[in-house]
Amino acid sequence: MFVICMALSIALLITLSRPVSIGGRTIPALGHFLNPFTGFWNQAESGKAGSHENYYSSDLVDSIQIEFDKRMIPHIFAQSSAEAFYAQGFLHAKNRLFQMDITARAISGRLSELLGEETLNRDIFARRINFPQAIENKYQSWQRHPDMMALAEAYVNGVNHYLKTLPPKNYPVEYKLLGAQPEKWTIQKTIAITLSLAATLNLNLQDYPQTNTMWDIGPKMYEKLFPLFPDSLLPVDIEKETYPDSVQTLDPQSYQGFNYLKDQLPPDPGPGIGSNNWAVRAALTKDSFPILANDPHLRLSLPSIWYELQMHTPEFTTHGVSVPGMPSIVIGFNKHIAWGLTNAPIDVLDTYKIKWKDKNQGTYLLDGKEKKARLRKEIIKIKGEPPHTEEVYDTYWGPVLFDNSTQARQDIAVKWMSALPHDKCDMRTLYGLMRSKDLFDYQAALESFYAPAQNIIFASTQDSIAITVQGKFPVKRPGQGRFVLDGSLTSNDWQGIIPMDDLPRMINPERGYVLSANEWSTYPEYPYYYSGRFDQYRGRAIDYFLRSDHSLTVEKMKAIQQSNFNLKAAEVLPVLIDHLSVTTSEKPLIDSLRNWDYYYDPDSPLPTITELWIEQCKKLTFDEISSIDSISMLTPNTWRLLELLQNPYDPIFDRLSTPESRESAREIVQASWDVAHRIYTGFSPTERHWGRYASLSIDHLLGIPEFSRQNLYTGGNGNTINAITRTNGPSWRMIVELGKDSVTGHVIYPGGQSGNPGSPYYDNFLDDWLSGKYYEVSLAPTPTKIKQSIHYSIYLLPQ
Amino acid sequence: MNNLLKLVLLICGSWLFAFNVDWRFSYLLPFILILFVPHKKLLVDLTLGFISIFLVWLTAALIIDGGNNSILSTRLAKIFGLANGPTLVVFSGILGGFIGGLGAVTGHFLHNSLQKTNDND
Repeated sequence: MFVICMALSIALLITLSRPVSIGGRTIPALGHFLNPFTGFWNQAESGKAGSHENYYSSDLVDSIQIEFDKRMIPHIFAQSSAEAFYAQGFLHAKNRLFQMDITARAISGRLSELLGEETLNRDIFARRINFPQAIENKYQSWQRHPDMMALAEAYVNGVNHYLKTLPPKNYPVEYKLLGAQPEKWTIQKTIAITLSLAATLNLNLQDYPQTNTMWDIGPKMYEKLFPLFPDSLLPVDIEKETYPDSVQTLDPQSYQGFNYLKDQLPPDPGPGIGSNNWAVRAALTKDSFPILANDPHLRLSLPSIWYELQMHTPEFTTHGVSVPGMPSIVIGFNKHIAWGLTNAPIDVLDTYKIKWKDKNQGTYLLDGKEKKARLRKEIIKIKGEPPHTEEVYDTYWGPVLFDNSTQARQDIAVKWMSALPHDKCDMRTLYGLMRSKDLFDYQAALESFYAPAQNIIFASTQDSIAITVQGKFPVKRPGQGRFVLDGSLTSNDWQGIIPMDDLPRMINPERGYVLSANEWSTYPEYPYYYSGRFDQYRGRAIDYFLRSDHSLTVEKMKAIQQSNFNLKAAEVLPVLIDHLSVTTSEKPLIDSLRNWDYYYDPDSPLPTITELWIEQCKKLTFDEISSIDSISMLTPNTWRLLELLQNPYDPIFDRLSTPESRESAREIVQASWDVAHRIYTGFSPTERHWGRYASLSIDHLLGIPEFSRQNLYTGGNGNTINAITRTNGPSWRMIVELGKDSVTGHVIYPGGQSGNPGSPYYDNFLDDWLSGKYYEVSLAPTPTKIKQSIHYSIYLLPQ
Repeated sequence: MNNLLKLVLLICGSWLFAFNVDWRFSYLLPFILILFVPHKKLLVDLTLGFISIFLVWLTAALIIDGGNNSILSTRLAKIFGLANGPTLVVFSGILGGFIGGLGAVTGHFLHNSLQKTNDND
């Protein structure tokens, strides 16, 4: 009997020590996970912090005091920048360890080690495009800046100090679910985080759908449907300078001899990636103080992308948000200045078709000569499976991202600005901005910034405002790089880098304000050709609000930042309605649309019918563009549809499916209304509400629904200033009033300071964010001046 | 040894050590105690092993869950297909009880088989 019982015991203990798969879902080892002493219960935080915690480190010379306020925002008081960054690393690790780890792994192509075969394709993409080499290149760049490396090393030491104090029972719950453990942090991982931001913002593989669409409809139609600039253009830099004439047209070399690219592109971060920022001078505000506002729109996640903090050293006192895994404050303010960022979505990635001489030998043609590609073998470890080996050729242009192994029909190499070696250290820019006192410091700080290109906005207590389209942009022939290029000609290479002095910028313009919202950077007269994926509406809406009010206040700025007014709807709807014949039953709905203020508020059903209508109208109008499975194509922008609607008899409105008749805009608008209306009336009255139809979901980094907040009832869309889509939105709302005696911030982000789903601080800002609240923030020069201090402190002490 | 005393020893022992040792100690402690001081009846030992560890795990989980307002247990209960956080508390307790009970039963049988060997000698 004993033997049976012992065998049973061993079987039970082994079973409880291993993860089990139930119904396709892997359940962690139950013994490890469920016991209340070392299992997940350790991550169930009470939220009642102890009075203080002491940690000792031989890395420190002076003591660091960290005081937390009611929202769990840390205020770091350190005697040097290095020690402030040390504390920042410690806090990031303490609060966001898993987030840092998973982000660094994703960019390094090492997700499958943790998550198994499910993420193999993501790892293959990361390895093929050679993110690890891009990390190494950036590491080499940083090494040429010992002062910055010292700060980065201090940050890394702070992370590792926390890791040393972390027993397995206190590992973040995600590690326990996965049966994994954290790794030592390195500078390379910090660089991986910076590269992850670049990949999110400017790893633009639009060449693919652009080439497919060009192949599908031909150059003439392409130029007609996809012009580089809209008629109603309002760029970031509105100051037209005298430039020599430049021709903005298609590059005939770039679309010859291609077929559809049957690709497997990574998920497109999409049109939801974007941001708003603006700054106004004192003359336009009621209290005569400059005001700066910024809200970066990113894919929202839990834990949040941002970690808020305030840092104090003898050199600076700065408040803002940081990215876990990265030293410094990315967006914020100090007692002299405030700064913010929006993405400058200029295309800095080009694709090249490789002409192989002998692919097995890795030889290809370049300017008629044979050239040898380097074969790289990437070994990707997979949890519970044998490792996968990926063979990739590296060419003159860069890695062959897509080849036959990825089911593409053609071998396409990529050249991406963010992956190339640079002589600057971009960390210097953020560090410089944190310490800036005036416009001069801001300009000096920006000199080191190259990727991802940003519209960096600035305002100071001295009543200076500025905006710079800052980044490293390739010099191209007009039209070059919109489509996959012939990789056998070096003449298709970039012809240099746009000199920094020629980057678009505005300083203290006459109109009294500067702004950006991912729109075109310049008027077409700019001497350097560029293309990209720009937004047309948010910037113009912000411009309208700023232009029409000369007594702006923080409260008005909050209202602008959360405005659901949709300029796209305001411009398109009246034109569509004009083309419509209305039946009696539809009249009340059309009247509502006619009298609507174009606000995409959650309770309104009108945005739902509007979006359905525009979508159907584009579908019917642009039937020239084929719809083929697994081939990514472009759809023209709504502003182009509107421009075409000016000529109702344009042949574009003639439907290909009805060769016997010739349709005009009127028939298309009518037919699209009929379809949209039918879909709309199929919804229940509640389902028609915009907040329900386009509800927002903020997913956990691993996509665990129980750790996510889904189906949130929100207003706005990608074209409203309050740019909330189903997955993206304002990831940080910040408004800073720069008074002469005090600088005050009004801030919020949709998440919480803790990355632990078992903490009350995991998503505690989210409901306030949804209801439009802001938290007031002031700079506290000493620990005793912290407003709403909860008297919870961490002391990092020299050993 | 008095059963009540054994229960107290099991509860106190597992509580004191549980925070610093592996969870399998919850199996080992009843196993060792019952191996050396078993009851004649298997059911009594089983009950002692089960109840003691059940109570320890349940109480610890309850205290933590209460302090956390069931934030984490509610989230994780859904992953395990359970109705709510308190169910996960009970589930944790039962799992502990099961481990403790099995440890006690194994100790009981080992004691008996060792005694039989001694008797045969």
